[in-house]
Amino acid sequence: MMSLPARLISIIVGLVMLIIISYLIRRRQIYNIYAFTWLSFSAFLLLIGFFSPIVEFISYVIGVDFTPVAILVLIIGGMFSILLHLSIIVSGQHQELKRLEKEISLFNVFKPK
Amino acid sequence: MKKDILIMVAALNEDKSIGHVVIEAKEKIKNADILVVDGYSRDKTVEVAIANGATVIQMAKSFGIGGAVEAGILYAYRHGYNYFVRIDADGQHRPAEIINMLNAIENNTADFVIGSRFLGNSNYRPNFLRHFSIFLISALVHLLYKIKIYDCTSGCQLYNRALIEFFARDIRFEYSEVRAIWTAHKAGFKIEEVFLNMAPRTHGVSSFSTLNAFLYMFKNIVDIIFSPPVFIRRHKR
Repeated sequence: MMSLPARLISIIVGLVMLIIISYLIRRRQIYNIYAFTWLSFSAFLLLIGFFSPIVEFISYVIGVDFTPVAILVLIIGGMFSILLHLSIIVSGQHQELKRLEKEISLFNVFKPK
Repeated sequence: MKKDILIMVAALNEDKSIGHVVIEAKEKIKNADILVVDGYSRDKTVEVAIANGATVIQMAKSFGIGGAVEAGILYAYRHGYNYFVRIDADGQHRPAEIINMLNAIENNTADFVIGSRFLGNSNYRPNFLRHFSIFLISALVHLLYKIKIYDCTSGCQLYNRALIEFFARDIRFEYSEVRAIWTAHKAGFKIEEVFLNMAPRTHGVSSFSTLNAFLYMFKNIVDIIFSPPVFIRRHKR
């Protein structure tokens, strides 16, 4: 069973993240589909804060006896998925930038004299 | 007069040799326009190329040689050229030899002609690492895509109109010498190799340093191994 302070911290961090991300989305500083992984991460923190038995269940499933380690494993997994999502976004933007650069290059044609 | 062939040269800081390449290509192949795709060179590549009668476009060098060639393909597509040839800016691909490739494509029904350095008695002597990587890539392409190409990494490639359209319309297409080969093969285009003798490099240094050679090999091998099964729309001949 998670201790009360751990659950409180998890809930508070999840809420703060949710507020920051929603604020950034509203100010158009994060494009909403890119915020998807961040929002699911904060939703996950809130979930383990409110329904802590889920953490015990997960640690049982992945075979970790010490519950805090299971939390760390889950958080690292979440970080990895955020990084993966960022890589996908960056690759998509690279592709898009290249397409634009090709189009622009066709506008500036230097003809021979 | 509308010209038929686009000869594309990707150049970065090549003002010593680019003028020579452009002049020779114009002399030897009459119905061709020369397009130099410059990666914002620091020297006078653009000025020299224009002065010698080439059309120049610029493409940021961070997109690499692949980006430059894609820009060239897009240019050929938009301006309605029937053939697209890519040659190197260092003068190692002789325009006189490219005529053989053009003949091959006009006589035969091939869509894609590769100027191969290994078919005949070539002057080309790559170092061990380079030779090994070319051999490995060729073997992998043969194994996974069932097509035997001796010189997969040759920079001298010739496409016909159908292939230009096929590459230019695919916005997810990323050019590399090897990927162009297997993408075209998977899509059902016919590929042929023609012997091309290389002239020795006169100016500058090859971008193929030992580190680059490893990166090139790594990139291509990852690309070949992780790509199948590929879902490529088949082209109807």
